Amino acid sequence: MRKLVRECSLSLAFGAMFLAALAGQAFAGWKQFNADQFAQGLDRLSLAQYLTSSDFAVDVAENWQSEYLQFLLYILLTVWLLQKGSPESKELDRSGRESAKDQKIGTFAERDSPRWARTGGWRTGLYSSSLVLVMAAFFLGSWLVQSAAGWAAFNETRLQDLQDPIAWTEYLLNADFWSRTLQNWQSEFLAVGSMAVLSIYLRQRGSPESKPVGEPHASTGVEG
Amino acid sequence: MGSTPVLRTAALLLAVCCTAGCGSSQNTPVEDAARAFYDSVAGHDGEKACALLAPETRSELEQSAGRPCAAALLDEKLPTVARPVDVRVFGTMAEVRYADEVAFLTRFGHRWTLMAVGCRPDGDRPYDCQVKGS
Repeated sequence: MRKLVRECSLSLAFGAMFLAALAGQAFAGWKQFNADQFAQGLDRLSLAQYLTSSDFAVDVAENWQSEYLQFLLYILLTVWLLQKGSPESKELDRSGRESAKDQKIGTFAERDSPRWARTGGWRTGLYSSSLVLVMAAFFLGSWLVQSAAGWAAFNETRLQDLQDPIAWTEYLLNADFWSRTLQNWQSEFLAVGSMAVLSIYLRQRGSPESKPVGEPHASTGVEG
Repeated sequence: MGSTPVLRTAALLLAVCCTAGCGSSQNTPVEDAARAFYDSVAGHDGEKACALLAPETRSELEQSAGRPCAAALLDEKLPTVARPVDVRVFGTMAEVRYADEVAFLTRFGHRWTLMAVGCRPDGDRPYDCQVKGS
């Protein structure tokens, strides 16, 4: 058991932090929602009602979609795009999907390679892009939920302001949808871009996300 | 690749569900509350109609008219209504549209109450309502 915890400590720590942060967001969002309701002379919701409301759903989904987009783009763009000196980049002569030998697929697969990497054909093709496909599905699914929940929350506010609700298709072109979407995207792009550049010159001893402390700034694709 | 048809189906289901207001069953209590209100007004039962107003709307009406709710509400000469043309529900808020009248409702607990009535369109601005909260 102790071995399992140690060997999975990274995913366990992030899982625990995720649940704690989500609980905190739910509680703070509930308090804020009820304060707004009270100020407008409207009824307050129980925590259970708030957790199933469109307000909570849109606040969660808009952050999820942008995080999955961030990793989706990072995984995909680093196949072709490079950053000299960054441990986040591949070596400068390895841009692209690389050879079957480099990727250990088909006849180049090793004895302990995943089965779908060995079989060839559509299975190996699909498995070769499985990470991006799953990330893309999570991104699109979260974005779809954001659009539906955001639409419902937006219309609830419009009704409070004595205005007609709008259709979902209209909401997809509305400033509220794009404001929620782009405010998340810009922060993700900034964070990833800074990481790629700062890691050229700065180090964190012991982290695989950094180059070794003594590695020259010009070394590319070297992780600690 | 394989996820595209799944996403298309999900989007379609979501759109259909949302267009229908995620089920007409949630419209019934809203429609019933609005009908009870307009029936009370048409029957000159101001007390019963006032009991169906949202607290903020009721106190605003009494304050602006300087009279008890029942008398002030009947003085407003609200229109009589037939069947609703459309009912839209989003969370704790709802709108019931009739041929010549629009009502806005808000949910208190499990009960729907009238937040604004006697509403007429005002271009792109919010509806101009005879009776509403502050």
